[in-house]
Amino acid sequence: MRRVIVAAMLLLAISIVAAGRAHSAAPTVVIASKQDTEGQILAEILAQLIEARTPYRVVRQTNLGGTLLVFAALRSGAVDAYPEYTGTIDATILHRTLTFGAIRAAMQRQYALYVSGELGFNNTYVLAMNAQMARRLHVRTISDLAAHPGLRWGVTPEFLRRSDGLPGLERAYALGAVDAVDIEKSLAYQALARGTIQVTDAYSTDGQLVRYGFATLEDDRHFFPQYRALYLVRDATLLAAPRLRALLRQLKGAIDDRTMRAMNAQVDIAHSSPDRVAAQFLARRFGIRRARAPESTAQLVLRALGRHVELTLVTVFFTVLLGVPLGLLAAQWPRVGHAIMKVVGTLQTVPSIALLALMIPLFGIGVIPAIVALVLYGLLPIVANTRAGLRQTPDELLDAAQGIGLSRAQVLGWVQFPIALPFILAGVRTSAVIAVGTATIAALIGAGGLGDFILAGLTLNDPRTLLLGAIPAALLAIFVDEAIYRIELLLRPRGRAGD
Amino acid sequence: MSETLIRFEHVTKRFGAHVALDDVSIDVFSGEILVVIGRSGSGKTTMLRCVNALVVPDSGRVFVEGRTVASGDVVASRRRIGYVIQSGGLFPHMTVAQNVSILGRAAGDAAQRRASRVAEVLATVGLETLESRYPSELSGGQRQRVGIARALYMDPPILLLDEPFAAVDPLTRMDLQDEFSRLHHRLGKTMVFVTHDVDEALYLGDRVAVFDAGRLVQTDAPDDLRRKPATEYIARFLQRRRARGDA
Repeated sequence: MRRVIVAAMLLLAISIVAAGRAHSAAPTVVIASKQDTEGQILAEILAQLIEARTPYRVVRQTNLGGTLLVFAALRSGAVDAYPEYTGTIDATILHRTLTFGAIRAAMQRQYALYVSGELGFNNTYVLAMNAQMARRLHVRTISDLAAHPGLRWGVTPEFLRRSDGLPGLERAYALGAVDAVDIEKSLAYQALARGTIQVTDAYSTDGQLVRYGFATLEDDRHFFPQYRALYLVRDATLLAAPRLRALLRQLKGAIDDRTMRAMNAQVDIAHSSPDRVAAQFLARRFGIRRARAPESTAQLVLRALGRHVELTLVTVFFTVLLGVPLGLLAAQWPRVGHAIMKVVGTLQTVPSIALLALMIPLFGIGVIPAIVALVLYGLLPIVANTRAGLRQTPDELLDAAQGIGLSRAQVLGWVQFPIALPFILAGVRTSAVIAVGTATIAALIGAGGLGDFILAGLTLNDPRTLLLGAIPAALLAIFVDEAIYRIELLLRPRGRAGD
Repeated sequence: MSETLIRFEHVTKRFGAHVALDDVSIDVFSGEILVVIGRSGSGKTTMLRCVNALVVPDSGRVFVEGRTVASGDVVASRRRIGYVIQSGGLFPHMTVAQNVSILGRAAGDAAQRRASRVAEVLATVGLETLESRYPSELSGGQRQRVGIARALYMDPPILLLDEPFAAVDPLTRMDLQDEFSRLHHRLGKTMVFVTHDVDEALYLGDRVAVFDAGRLVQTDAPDDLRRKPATEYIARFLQRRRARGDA
């Protein structure tokens, strides 16, 4: 039994290493971004510029989940470049406020990263309110909010915790502890429009501000730091792809606030794609015409579905390979079993973002870390059901099996395991359905799949895009559930029918 | 009598505070049926399970065929001791043939050899043509016979039977007892048979061993037991059960 587990681990390790090798061989530049519209547009601009002006191959990972993930990916070498902001570098990466020159020097020294010239615009935090309510309450500046402690704030989780977000703001403006809940950005705008919340954080270049006609409050004490956009690029990438440097110089100062807000609005409100908006910008600014035609929506959905199925199947395969032996161990040795159940249960409670972030230094970004994370998430039902199934063998059968002279392995393999099989399969079914669902988060570290549409839909506040991902994912879950149930029926031992 | 096949020497076994076996010594002779009787919790099943090492004594020794149990290959020695439990203890996911031949499979018997041996032992217990049935498709009496057939598959010199007929209806039980008695005369195997049914004990046993609270209080042939009960407890035990049996 121990041999089976060791073999499973080895297989997993080998496949991970092999996949990693296959990736690193190609002479490509990986351009990433977080999930926000602006980041995706900026990533596309750089990506398309590289494609138009250099022979380098470009790989896009424009849906990574947050600064934590994308920066970890950059450091690990899984990503070569992504757009970032001076304020974020100060607060999240270097943990001190520096001049641009000092940031450049520090990033170079500490992380061997090249900081490009600033692109021009400053996308800092602003606070937004419903325009009518702001007028009624006479709130024009952030200082004015001190007079209205009863307002409910709905802010992004990042803003809620960052020192340059809400905690610092409360101190700087002596607001006390405001009544704040964390809420996903696109939902925050809807909530603000409906009046469920009265204040939210926004970015100054956010196209949505125009659409909803929200009032933005003046930062009269200049609390919010500057968020000047730039690209972070690995030094190693500049060595391997030296023509990047000239392209980055061309983009310096090329995008002002107005241009950026317009591009954001194009995507967020007019439902254009970051890819198209970037192409239009490059055409206007540099006269670049795009070579490759964008794929149709149907093609994209089909490809994402294929990837999703792939992720699910591979995940289920490895989950079974790992989970069944673990359940076996847990059933055989109660004390080990307790420990295993604790670990597997705890894994389930780790927030997906945190788990994915942990994966990056080990496995980079893309399919491999996603599958590792999905396998860890899917273990519980299989381990628990295998353990329970094996332990519910009736005592008299164990007694008979041992008493007539079956070896321990035979008791397990011929009696306990077949009797537990329906339970184990039920666990596999649960796990597989979970895998279909959680595979949508795999998009956060660039594994693709239907999660790309769901994340994009959420980011762009576009239900149509969201449903393009959500509906196939739901159908896939139903299909997988039904398919495994059929297999269960086929494998169910006939003899148990009367029990 | 003939040679000793199973010997208990001052065997004591406790489960926590409960003394299941209290200094038990007894010889089981080759070819006899020793019926072990007593109330539930009196230690009779524990005594049986010491023979095939499902229970290991705290002190004292158990010899089977001259060697101490639980020394050496327990699994191999169990295959020389047939084991039948209440309701047969059949594996629900296996057919009758698979159940009966499971030790053949463990021993690596060829399929053909297994099939012919299954037919033989099923015929011995009076069951034919049921090979491909599952236990859930059998009657209680049939299951019990399959259990005995499984115990006979390896042709072991010793059979242990733990209340094998307790779960079947009275009429079927009487049939099974008759057949079992004939089977014993035909096969001449040494058997230890646990029951709480006095009539069954007196009917089947060459000798009857009576347990009370972990102690072996009397071992005698049925007639001697009836005539000269060693203790008041045995006398009352026999009386009450027989009175109810006659009613």
